[in-house]
Amino acid sequence: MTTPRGRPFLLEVGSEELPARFVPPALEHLHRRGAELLAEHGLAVEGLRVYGTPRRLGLLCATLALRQPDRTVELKGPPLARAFDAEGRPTAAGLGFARRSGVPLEDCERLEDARGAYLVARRVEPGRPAAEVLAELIPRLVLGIPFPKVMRWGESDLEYARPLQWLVVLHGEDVVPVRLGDLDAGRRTRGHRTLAGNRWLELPAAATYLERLREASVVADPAERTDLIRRGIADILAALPGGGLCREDPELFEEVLHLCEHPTPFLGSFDAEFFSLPDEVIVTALKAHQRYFAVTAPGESRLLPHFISVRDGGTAGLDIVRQGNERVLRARLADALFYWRFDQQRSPDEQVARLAAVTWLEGFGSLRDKIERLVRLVDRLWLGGLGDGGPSPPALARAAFLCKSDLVSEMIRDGKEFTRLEGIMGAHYARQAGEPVEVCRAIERHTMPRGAGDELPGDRVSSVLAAADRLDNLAGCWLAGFAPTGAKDPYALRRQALALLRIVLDLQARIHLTSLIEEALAPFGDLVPEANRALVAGELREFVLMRLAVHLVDGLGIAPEVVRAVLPAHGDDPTDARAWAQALAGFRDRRDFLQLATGFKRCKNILEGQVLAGEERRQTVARWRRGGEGADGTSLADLDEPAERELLAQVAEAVPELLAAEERGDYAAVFGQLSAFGPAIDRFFDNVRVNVADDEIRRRRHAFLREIHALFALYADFSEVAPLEC
Amino acid sequence: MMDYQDMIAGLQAFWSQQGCVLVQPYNSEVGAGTFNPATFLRVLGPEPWRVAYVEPSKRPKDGRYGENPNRVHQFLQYQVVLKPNPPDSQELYLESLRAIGIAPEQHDIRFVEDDWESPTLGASGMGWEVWVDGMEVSQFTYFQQVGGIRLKPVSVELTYGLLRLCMFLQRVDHVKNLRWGGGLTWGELQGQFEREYSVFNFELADVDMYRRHFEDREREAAALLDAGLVFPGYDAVIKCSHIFNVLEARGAISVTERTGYIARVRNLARRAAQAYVASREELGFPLLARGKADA
Repeated sequence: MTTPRGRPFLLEVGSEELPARFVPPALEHLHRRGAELLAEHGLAVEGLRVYGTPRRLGLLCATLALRQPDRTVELKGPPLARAFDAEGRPTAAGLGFARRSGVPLEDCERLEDARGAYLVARRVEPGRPAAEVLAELIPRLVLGIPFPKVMRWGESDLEYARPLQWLVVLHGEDVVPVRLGDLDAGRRTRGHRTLAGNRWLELPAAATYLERLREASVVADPAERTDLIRRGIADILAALPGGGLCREDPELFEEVLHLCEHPTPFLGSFDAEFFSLPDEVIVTALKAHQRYFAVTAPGESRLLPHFISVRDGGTAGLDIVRQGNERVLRARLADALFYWRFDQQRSPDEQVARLAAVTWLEGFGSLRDKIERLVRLVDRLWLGGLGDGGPSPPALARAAFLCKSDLVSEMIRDGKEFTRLEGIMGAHYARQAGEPVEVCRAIERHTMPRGAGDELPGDRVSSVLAAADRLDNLAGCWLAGFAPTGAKDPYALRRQALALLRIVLDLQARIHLTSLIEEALAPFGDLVPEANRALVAGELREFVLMRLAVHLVDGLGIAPEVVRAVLPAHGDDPTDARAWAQALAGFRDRRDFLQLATGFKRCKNILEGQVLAGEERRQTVARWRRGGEGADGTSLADLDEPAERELLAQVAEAVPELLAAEERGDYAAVFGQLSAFGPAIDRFFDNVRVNVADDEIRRRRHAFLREIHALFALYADFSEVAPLEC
Repeated sequence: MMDYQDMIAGLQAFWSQQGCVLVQPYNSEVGAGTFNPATFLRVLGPEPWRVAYVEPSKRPKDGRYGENPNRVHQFLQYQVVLKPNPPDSQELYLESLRAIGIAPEQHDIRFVEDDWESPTLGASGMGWEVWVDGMEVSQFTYFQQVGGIRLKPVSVELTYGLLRLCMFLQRVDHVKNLRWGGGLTWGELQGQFEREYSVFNFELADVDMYRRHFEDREREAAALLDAGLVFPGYDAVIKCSHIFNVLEARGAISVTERTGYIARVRNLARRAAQAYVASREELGFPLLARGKADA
């Protein structure tokens, strides 16, 4: 079998401007899926590369096979005894097989295996020409691009990210007859919209692709455009008197990269009067409104009154373009400056008073009411484990009081990109009003973390405020009936619960979740009936515990069964739960530990769910301290089997050390201690019959096992991590 | 340099040459040219349609007493609808810019992703905002759904922000200095109007009366649509929408109430859309034959 020779291959899908963010994943798909499909269909390729701009997605191969390789197909026929009669003449069955398989009977082979001798036809199936295969594959490849959103246009039923305009499929010099909806593949592509007058280009062959596009001012290779932009920016900065640095911003860079086919970076400037604005406001205007790069002084974070924008085109009329951009930016900054000055005519305290007119949640009061709750809740959280042990600092209450004041500022109410400066603007206005650094910092950071991987507030005062804000949102939204259901989570409560937990864990705070939830629900007393509140407290606790489980598993990489084992015992204190989970995760693969877990599960099984819970379970420690007795007062002193006595003595003796290890926070030692009981438990089950006929003895043994179980269950539900077979 | 009115005349001439019917603004307050039945209703169903018009768009919330350099409560939009969208929609649009003095090769023109949605109209589309030298001058939208009805064929809507475009062309930094024509500026023509309407919308609009008006118009819309009167019925829907905008500017509508009001208008808009399609079908989609005869 010979590998057919190949020729260069080009696929280019021309469309109206794709959203910049759609281009990288689409190219990734073309590359990966394209290679897969070609391989699956036996079309050998070499040098597959992808190219793309907002107007085109291209796949170019240095060579692609002319056809699929031939394949030998083996068809099994009837047994020889049926294919030929006694005289060796072909029967109807034999002739029929030859006809069906397309191989003359005399060319069929005879094959013998364990089941007998058969007739076999071997046929070489010629590989199909590449063009034929490609005509089927390409529509699948192109229409399978996983765009975040697709649309329809005109009378067509096709769906694509933006209307399709042209399709080039060339194999060597030949057009491959591919049809996509009402679009036929050809050899025509388009040049740059303005630099090449959007003219049609005839591609004589696939291999001429990049060169012909370059002649028409299209730089199809994103790597090459990246290089052009970087070099252009470097040249601009080098020419700046005193030099300058471009603020790195990979996200912005990628967007800019895919907003053009022929990048030309240029420098623009703005008036230094705008430096009275906070840097964040200027950078937001530059980046979010206009997609410009900010320029800083070399070696400093100080902004310079310049920006770098990337034009799609050459240098013709560049001064007009620069002036236009500068004028647009000036209008944006003038808006911001107007807001900045206007907002400062009101003190932060006056703004807080105005929050009374802003509804927080319908039927659940205003933002001013929320402030009232926050001021109280930060204090409860501080004293409830998030603080440093001392009384809550005045800065915390002050920050809680002011943290929402920017929501009525003109800057945030702008409704456009400045809105994302919530918190940051509040901090600036507080700073202007002379508030202490700590207060301003907490106002600024109270909205952190904004997303799953986002940075945490960091310092304790900011963290407590951020946690209180989330907890209040959870409580209020839950009472108002906005609990998440399925894909619906209109107030992003899952994200808020995660933020709350991440903050608590970051502070390594020791809290009692149930009490804090009750604290958060308490101020809604007038609005919600008592019964409802208790119900909500339970639901909310379950919800937060579920988020904690998700975070421990997905965020910290702890095995799900380990998390399930520790959460029932320790979930109310997330920091502690994390420590227990980590300790258990480190222990679970030890042989002695598995022995213990198995023993625990045997206890649980034999008790058939009749285990101690709640306060009874917690009191087991006191009973063990006294040498061991049943929760119902059963004396364990009369246990008579040696294995029973051994286990009782061993556990009773170890309890003080167990407690000491727990006290020290040495949870690994706790699990170590518990593991040491494994052999004794095994001996107990091997030598002692629990369910004996004698009521008294049976009752005593059950009581004993309940105490063993209760003691272990204080640390973890080991049955979750026990081997499956027991 | 081109006056405001010359620019409008330039667009009118251009789109007239492209076979558009030039209609006049609607005779009731609308928040955008899309509300005009020449867009909202005509993009529904199979009949071909090409239209262009100026629409004074009223957004009470955006008023700034005529003081903000770039923001006013009433501004003119230029609206073009091509149904179905021709394959060279973008090229036509760029030619129209040339017709008003913006030569694409002398500028930096971008099509930046911007999908559009009108919860009030049950409408959504995909497309771009068009930037000229960093200034957003138009919305370019392929309607996918209007009045809750999936469109086939798809129409393209081009909406030019005339004030922005003209400020850009005239290089003025404040709307009040825009030269309109006849030797007058925007400020001279519209300044007092803008200021007074800001006072009205933000301070004086009678909330109780407007709430009642909303209820009345809502009932009227439902009754008229029940009676099979599409255009009068839809007119009442438009009025509901504007009344809602006034109430919102006045700060009379809370966040949750807002969703409720929008849903009420959307339900009526849906009914109007369905009634329109049904009524055209009954008439045998008269413009369909026309489109075929021309082709």
